[in-house]
Amino acid sequence: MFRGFRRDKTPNQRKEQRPARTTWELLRILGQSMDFETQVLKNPHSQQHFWISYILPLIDFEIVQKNILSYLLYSPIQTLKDIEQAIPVEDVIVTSNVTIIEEKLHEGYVLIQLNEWANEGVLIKAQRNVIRNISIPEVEFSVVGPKEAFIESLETNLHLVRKRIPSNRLTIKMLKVGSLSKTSIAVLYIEGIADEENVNTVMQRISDIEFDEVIDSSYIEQIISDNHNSPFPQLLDTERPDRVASILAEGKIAVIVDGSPHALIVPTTLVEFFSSFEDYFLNWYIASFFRLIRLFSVAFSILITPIYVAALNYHYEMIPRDLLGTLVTSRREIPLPPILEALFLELTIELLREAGARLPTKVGQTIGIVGGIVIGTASVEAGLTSNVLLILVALAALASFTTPVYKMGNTIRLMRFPFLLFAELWGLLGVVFCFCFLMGHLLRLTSLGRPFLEPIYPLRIADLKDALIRLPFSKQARRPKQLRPEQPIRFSAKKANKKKDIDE
Amino acid sequence: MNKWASLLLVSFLIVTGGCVRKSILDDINTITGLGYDYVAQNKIKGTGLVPVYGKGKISNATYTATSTTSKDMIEELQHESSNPLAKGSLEVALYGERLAKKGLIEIMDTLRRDPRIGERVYLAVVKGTAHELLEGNYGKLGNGIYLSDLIQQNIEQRDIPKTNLHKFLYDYYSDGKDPFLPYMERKGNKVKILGIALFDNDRMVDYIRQNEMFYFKILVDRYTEGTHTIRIGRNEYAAIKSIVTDRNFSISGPKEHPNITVRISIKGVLHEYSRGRYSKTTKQRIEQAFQKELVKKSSKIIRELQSYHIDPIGFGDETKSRYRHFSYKNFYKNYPSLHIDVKANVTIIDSGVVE
Amino acid sequence: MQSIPERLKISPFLVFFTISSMQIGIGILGFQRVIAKSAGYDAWISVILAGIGAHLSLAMMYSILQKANGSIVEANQQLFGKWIGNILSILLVLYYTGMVVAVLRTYIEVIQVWMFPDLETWVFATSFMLLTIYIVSGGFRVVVGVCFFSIILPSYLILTFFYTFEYANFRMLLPIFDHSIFSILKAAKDMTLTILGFETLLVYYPFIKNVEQSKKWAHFSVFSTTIIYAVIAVITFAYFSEKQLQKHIWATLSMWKIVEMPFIERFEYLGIANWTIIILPNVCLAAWCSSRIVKQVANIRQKYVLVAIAAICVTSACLLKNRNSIELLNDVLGSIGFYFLYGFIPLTFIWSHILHKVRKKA
Repeated sequence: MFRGFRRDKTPNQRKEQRPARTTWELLRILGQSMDFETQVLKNPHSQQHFWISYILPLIDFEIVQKNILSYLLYSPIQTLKDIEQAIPVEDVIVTSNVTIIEEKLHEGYVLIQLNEWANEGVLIKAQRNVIRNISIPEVEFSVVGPKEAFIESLETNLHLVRKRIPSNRLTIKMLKVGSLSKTSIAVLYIEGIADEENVNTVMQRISDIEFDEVIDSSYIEQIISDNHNSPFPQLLDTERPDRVASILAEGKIAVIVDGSPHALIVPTTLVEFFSSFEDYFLNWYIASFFRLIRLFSVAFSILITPIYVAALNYHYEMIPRDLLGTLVTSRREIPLPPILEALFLELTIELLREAGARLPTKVGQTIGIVGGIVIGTASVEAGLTSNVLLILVALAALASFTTPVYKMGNTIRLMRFPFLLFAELWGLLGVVFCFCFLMGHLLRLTSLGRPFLEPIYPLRIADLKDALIRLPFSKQARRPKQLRPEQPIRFSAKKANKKKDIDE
Repeated sequence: MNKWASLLLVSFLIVTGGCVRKSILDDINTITGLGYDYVAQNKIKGTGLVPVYGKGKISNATYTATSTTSKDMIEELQHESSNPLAKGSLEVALYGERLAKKGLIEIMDTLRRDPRIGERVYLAVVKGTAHELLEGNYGKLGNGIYLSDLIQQNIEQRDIPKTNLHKFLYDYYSDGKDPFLPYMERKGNKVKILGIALFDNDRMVDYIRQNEMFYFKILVDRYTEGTHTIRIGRNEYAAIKSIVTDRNFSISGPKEHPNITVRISIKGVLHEYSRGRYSKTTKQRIEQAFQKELVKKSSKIIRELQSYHIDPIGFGDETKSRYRHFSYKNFYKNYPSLHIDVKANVTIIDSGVVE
Repeated sequence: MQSIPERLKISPFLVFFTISSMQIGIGILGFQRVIAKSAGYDAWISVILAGIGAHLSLAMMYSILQKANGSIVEANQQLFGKWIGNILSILLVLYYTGMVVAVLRTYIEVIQVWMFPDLETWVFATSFMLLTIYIVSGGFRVVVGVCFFSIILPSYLILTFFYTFEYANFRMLLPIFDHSIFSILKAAKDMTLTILGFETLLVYYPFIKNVEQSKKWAHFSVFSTTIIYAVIAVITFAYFSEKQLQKHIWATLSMWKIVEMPFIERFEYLGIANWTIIILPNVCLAAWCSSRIVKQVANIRQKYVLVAIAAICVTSACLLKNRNSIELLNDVLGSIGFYFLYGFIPLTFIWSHILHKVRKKA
């Protein structure tokens, strides 16, 4: 299960340079890079020389000036211990461990030595933090509800979650992954609610990762997911800190990767990909209605063009007689067989979407309008496609965008093509046959070892309260059984459901 | 790697070997109507009706061929057609009167056996030839849809009892029932329903006239929304609408020679009354007149059926369901002499918005 | 004997789905004609009788398996000794494989007659067996998942039968008991092939979490399928006249021809396509059972056995060329099933009972 690039020692690591054994050696290696600087200063009081080394782009000069140099130069300092005491920075380490020194230098610490060849030195934190401001969520936008989204800084992200769960049971485990990137990864869960086995599995899988450069949480997602060959995402990613806080309270686990504005949620299920977080901000039956609409639109989006191809190719008997005339007149001039017609239009839509996604926002919008209107109308007028199919394909594309999770939307659009091919091959029979394959695949999928189709299969009636529909909060007194939470009850259901008599 | 390669090979084989013959909608000619006519001994003329879809209008094309059996009729018709003919969306099948009198079941075999043909196909007997009827031009939607709408409308709201391919075959194969079909004729640019053709097995023997169809439908089927006008006296007429009917059989006596009573109950709304005030007494008068007429006409129809030795009403089946170890043979031996009574009960529920 | 790890076991209520999805297969498409042949329109009584027989047989199976505390392979070994027991188990492998072939080939026949006359048997058989291998190699839980969905998803098909009421004449079912007991019993025997399928329990028994609770679900499952069969039989008898029914090989499919919805003029094509989902667990569970027995008896990896069985099934499906041979296979399988359910199982039941008593005393 843990094959791939985890576990096995990659050869390029062996080829790497022999790790530095002394600090002097380390500084020499680092010195090969032009942005590494070492300065020699002299304290006028004690006549002591200091060797200050740092990686220039990582440190904040203001901190160095104010908090370090001013004390180094103007107080009587003799030993490294003196420095530790004199400097008012929270993170000051005295060490001779070369590995720690190397690591810390790369995190934006300044190394101060009393002697150029000395192994021992003081590490002082002078990190430069270039982060953007917290912005509104763009992928998972909601009309009502909080408008904060994660950003690329781990500390800020943790802050956003922590402030929503001010509890000492919220536990954060830190890991470092990536032989080059040394990316920090935080695993968040609530002690006493989250299942320990799940936590252990996540920790195990992340610490098993062998990869050089981990850029984003989606790297982690792809590496630790159960089935690498599945088109379905098996971990849910979100940019909303409120969503993360809410799933933590359910007993799930969140993984936040430094440098990535997306948190990962594990374990997850298929239905969760079709629930938008906004569902919880709306009244329960409105939310349920929208969930059902989404479910329907997914089915519609996948099946409508295949059914069109199947019916036109093989099952003309099924078409209602009043529709027959419309279909025949719209198709008669068209030289292409239904499958090519459908593929042509589907690919056009994909093209428009891809072009729209790659171009800057303003140009992208124009492309959408131009493509949708001009190409659509023109291809019908030119007799390349029938207008009935144009309507169907456009609707199907629209329906695929109702999926709240971007990655799932992509999967759904991709899934249309095997269905189309099977519809071409065996008509409706082929569509159902392809559906059977899909069903088998989904049944085999697991997320962190837990069945992906829960709570539908294995059927957990209690968990259906927040799956295809969302029942009111008073009915949500228990955490999902599927997560095997250590503390299944969220609040007293009795109190929430207490009925009042008339005029009480 | 080997696994993937072999999987690829298998899927390639499936895609290449798995193709089945297509019938792409715009590359076929869908037959919506079929007509059969008797030409000579063992010679049948077939007519296929194909809609030609134009902008906002559907026109008709017909193909004709003569052959010995109905099985290769479609293949014969194929000789004239530019695209393959497909009979999956057949709406109506028409039979010429002469052919109907010789027997239909052999010709019907293709319709019955071919899974592509629906069970809701309407069958009808044509006075004259089916060919002539199909050649006409009726309405904007094309002849096929016109004919099936015509029959459907008359079943739902007028005097044709429920009928289609399935019903015909049900009655044909049933021991205690005989089939019937609508009987129609071309009148210029329209088609008119003349009555109900009665069958002895698969051979047409006679037909119920148009003015008796109302009573015939009450006997074999039930009304859910019918209309009927009765004459009460001189210049005194009452039109009744929203008629709902029901019929019940009570059967007594020995199973070879039972006494059968048909109880008919009718409910309706007075729609139009030709003379003066409508009161409780007139209501009773209308009801009684209706009842009398109903008993008279129905008994006449039943007597006629008995004399032809046919049973479209299904007295045989009704009797069978009431006796153990029933023998259809003995029952039908005595059928013409059976005593069949009709009793009617008419209720006028409402008299519209005016008193 | 290795015990089954807890995470591979299924909840007791899922037995409901494994049993009913196995029972509902190709039989339901055309059993009406067969049973009406001998018992006329009293045949719905035979359906209920066959259901009662199935209940008895199921209860005996549970008893045998509970005493053996394992699958039929262990039971056979305990009751008949290692050699004879294993031979009996191998015969079961043939039986289950035969079931796969019969179901698959009959379904292909239906497709060839109703939809695609020129569909090559080997193509569909190969694709279907590939799908089966894919699902079965996911393990028993996945197979049960397929069973579950094959009941849930097509359950809407039941509603379509209401369309036939417009043309139904329920009077024709009267008078009840117009046929002799003997002919009704004969029809009940003819019903075996249709009601068959729950004997797969013999193999997956060790995979059930709470056996005592599952009994209730198993019996409830047999009960519901019997009711469904009886209802469909009654509706069919009302819809067709007796001689007309004899002309229809697949009466259930013929009934769909009358279904007409605003967006679908002819329903049977959708119905036949949908039937793939119903056939799937039949093939998957039977293939799983036969490969599982081989694994237990001969200690060969189930993966390889599965592929071999799939290959055998494809080959034999292709060898059955026409309807007569398919019908022959179905008849043979039906009578084997009959003697299996009402001969082998009761005898084994009595033998296990005696042996159990003797061993207790000793």
